[in-house]
Amino acid sequence: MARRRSEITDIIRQRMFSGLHLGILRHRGRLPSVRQLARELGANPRVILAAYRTLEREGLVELKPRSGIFVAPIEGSVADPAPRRADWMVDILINGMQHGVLPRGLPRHVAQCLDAVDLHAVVLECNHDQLYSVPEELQRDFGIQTTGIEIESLGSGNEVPADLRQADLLVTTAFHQKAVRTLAKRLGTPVVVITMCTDLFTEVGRLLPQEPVYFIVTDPRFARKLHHLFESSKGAANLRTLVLGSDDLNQIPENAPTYLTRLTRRRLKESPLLHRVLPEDRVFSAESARQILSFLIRTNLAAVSSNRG
Amino acid sequence: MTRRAEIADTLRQRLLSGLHLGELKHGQRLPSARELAREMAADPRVILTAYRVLEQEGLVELRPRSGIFLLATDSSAGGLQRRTHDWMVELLLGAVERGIPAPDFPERLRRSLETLRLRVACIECNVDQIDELSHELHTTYGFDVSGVDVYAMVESSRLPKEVRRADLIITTHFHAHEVQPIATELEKPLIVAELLVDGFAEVARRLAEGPVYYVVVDPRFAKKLGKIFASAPGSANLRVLIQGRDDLDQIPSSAPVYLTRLVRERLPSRSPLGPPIPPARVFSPETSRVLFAFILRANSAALTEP
Repeated sequence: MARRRSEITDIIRQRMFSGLHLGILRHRGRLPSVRQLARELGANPRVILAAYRTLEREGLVELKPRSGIFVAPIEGSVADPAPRRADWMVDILINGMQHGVLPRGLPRHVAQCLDAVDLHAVVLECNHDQLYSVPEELQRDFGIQTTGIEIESLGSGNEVPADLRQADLLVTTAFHQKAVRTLAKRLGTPVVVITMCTDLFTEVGRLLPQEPVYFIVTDPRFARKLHHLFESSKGAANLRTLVLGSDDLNQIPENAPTYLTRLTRRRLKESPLLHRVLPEDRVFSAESARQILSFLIRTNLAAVSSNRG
Repeated sequence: MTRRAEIADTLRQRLLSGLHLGELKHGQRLPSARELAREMAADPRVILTAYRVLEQEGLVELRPRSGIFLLATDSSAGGLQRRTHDWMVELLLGAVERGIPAPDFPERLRRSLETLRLRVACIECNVDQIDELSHELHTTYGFDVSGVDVYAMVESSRLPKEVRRADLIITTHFHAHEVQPIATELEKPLIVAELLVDGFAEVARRLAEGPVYYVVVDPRFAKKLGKIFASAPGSANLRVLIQGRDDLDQIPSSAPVYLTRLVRERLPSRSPLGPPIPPARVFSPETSRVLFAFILRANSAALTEP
């Protein structure tokens, strides 16, 4: 009887060893029941149970009453509490491996898609606020050297400023898209028409029917543009635009929702107003960011592959 | 995933790796389905269909009566560049949305991986596996790795300094129960690595069809293989040869052969058994995640320390 039990223990141990290596068994996976195994091996169920108990003492299996017999988990392993937490960086590294790029090569690989060529963009807009915020973001978030040009300064003549002629990319918003597309076609330069502050404008559109909303801008032309933008929204009369330097900012009630453009924020420097509102991090919508990145990466990859060829 | 999709995935990843690492060149001839079938211990027909999948993706070209080739740059650039473009756009959009400007991302990533040199003690019972795991832990994960023989360690009265000084201990399921008490005693993190089992599972399938050759360096690994396949149908078809002791010329040219990395490394460079393309990954995707999470966590802790 004793010999029989140790024989059976060995058979189970061997099968677990194979099964785990061949991928048939996993840790915490279910093992055959005592009854099943007794039938298969032609042994007394009590002998099988005793064998499982031996393996349990060795820490190889776990007997859970009324539930079954399982391959034991490994205690104290950092691998154990299945790190399913979607870790963004981990995903990036795993993705890299699937593309055949090892982690240590990945930083260089990404850098190559960004700085193989120096790109220069021109932002065409009609007001200082946007001519400040759009180039700032193109430079900071995408590393693209950017010049802002007032669209009205172009006039209708044929003389095109050098910056504009040499630009790799033109950027504007929907307001000027027609004019800029015509110009781009003439120059043979690609255009990205961006959408801005979509979350912020949605929020403002939601607040306007309920209460006054304040915008502090630097350029009166941007104030007019904002009114134009919300013209057909409910509660459009609640939109209050103040121009820095000409309107009295003290008229803004204590708890009224207030938004500052990036340029205003920079010029205000130490006003208590700066602490009242949270700065928004980015002005580009996700879709626009995607378009800019796509242009940036496409241009760099093309440059890298033509350098190689 | 079907076997064909699995093989296509492995092949794609190996070919792309080879290209990035400069071990493969565009336009280069690739091993035939038959050659690769031996090396990957898979059915040649499955390898051929996997190659066809990669042909549709624009990575390789199958020329009748001439062979299989990596596509030349100009013709494959489109497909490969589109894949890279789509991947990079998503990656950098994620960065920008998290407040990391795209130009800062590469440096941020580098610091998240390389601020610390992490020391790993890789504990296993034979030199073939120690070599295979250590090599992968070093090249892919960037660890400083010391291989430790589990039996030598258990028998000696004092733990080797490689284990005492390690930042992390790594072993496989079969030594987890020997290694775990040591990790607990030393208060060291332990990762029980899960290996990709496709290799073993494929060998088990092929054993049913005929002899399968396995060439190893360490007789202890030969013994372990015998145990692994003991309950597979056709286990008598397993032929384990030890390099340096057994005659490798006895392997029939049509038989599937599996070589450990150490064997490959020691083979003469022009051996017909030699490695045609970089080897596949060693760890399961889950274990890869755990290893990366460990590296990122350790580095980010070091970066935020005052």
